[in-house]
Amino acid sequence: MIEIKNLTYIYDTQQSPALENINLSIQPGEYVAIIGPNGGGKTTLIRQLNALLTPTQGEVWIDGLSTGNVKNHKEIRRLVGMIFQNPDDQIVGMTVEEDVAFGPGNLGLSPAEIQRRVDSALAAVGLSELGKRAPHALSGGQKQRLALAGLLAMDPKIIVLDEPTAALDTSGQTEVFRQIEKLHQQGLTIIFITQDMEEAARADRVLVLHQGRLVADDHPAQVLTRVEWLLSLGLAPPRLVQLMCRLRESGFDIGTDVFDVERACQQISTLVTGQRQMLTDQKPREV
Amino acid sequence: MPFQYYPLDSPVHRLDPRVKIIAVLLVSILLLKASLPSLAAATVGFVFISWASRTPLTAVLKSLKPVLPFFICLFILYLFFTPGSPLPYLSFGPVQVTQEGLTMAITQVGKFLLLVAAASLFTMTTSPIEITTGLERLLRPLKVFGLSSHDLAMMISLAFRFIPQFVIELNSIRQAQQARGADLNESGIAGKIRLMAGLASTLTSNMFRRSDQLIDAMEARGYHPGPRTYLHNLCFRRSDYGVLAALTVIAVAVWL
Repeated sequence: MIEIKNLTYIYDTQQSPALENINLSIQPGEYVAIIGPNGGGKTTLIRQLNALLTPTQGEVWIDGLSTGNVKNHKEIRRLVGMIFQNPDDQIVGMTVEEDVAFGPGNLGLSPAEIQRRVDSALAAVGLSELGKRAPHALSGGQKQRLALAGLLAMDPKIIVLDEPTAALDTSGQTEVFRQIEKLHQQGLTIIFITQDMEEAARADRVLVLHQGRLVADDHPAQVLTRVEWLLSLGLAPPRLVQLMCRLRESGFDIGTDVFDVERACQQISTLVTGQRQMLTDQKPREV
Repeated sequence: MPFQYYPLDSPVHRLDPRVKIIAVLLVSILLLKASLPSLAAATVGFVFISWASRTPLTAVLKSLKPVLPFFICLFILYLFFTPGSPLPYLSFGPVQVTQEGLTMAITQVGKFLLLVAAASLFTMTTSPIEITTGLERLLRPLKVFGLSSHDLAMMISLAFRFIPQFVIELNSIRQAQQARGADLNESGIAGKIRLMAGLASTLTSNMFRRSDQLIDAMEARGYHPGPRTYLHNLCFRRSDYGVLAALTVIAVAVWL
């Protein structure tokens, strides 16, 4: 459970705050996407969640622990795992196994317990066979799964991801999201930043940050369908939503909260059959 | 690549890294005062250990290649500039090869070559993880001086971890420079230095940026300086005690 109260964060007093008066609460097991233009405060916000940054004003509470208190940092960082954008910059170990063992080692667990956690974490992300490999020899998707395994070995409740797929190819992106969704189904809270609106649409809740303020916090169907508004913030609404909106503007009776090709196809084909029906109904009268 | 770890299974590989570190250090110290016959004995011993490690002897020899020019110079210096009784047929006017010079040249250069070879065999039979873990254990007494062996081991292991990334980064910078028309085959010392300067500054600033990000990632995973635990635990086996005993005997024998 995450509670953010009146959070303001200032990097530099000469500039406007990176985050301004954010109020937010995230329940256990939620699946949250954070979107917003660059410099909007997305990364600053998630760095507050594992105490890499602490509030200038206001409070951040993770499971009843305030990030303002340095004594809580160890436990907060165990509870909140973080994945960064560039997979290469988060590898610590010389082998895959060693890398996963880094977190549990920081917790001071016994070698036997570390081994058990390493094995189960690698099995959870499907990298068991690669335990002895050098991490830099893995593919981008595998590296991000390795990073996830490194977090799982610490038994976290919340996983925060900063554009985890931005540096990956398409197959790597699918690979990572399949893994993230699996973890979400197991009851972990997932919070991720993305530039890709199609990825954002997969979440149960979308937060929009603009100039350090939380300007929207709702279900993807409510947020991602506001095409004009998203464009005014400099964000690109999902292509399918744009298509549906154009059709609607042209007078077709169609829903706009469509995020996958399957549903779009369904909607459009009902529309087309309806039109065809109307045409065949009209024809005899014309003749 | 010389000095690179050969993941094999041999009695030498299986030895505890602490024993190997101690052995290399001890042998290095003992070698410094070795005479020609004991040097010959040490070389035979080394060839035997190298054979027992199943690593190719050629790989050990390759590791000597980069230091060879230096040792050739050293050899020549000892050969011609040691006073003593001149050898017949090998003296040309003022330049004289002496009996003592020849012996000195062979022993001194032989010692250093053997040291480099021993270090190379050590890294070929001990993985970076083992080296780090072994050093961490051996350095624990430094706690008395307020130094944390855990922090030192972390630094060493991060250095190892950065090597492959360093190579990748270097290649991509080279390619970026080539793509903009840089001539990477500049001849002459001045040209080479200019080239290196361009590479080094970019590489250093890139590495600093990467380290910054790595620090965040490490903190996010709960890193804190000071005591921590490890996946691999070290424990002495019978063979380790055997080697330690043998080392003690050799050390005592040489000392007396």
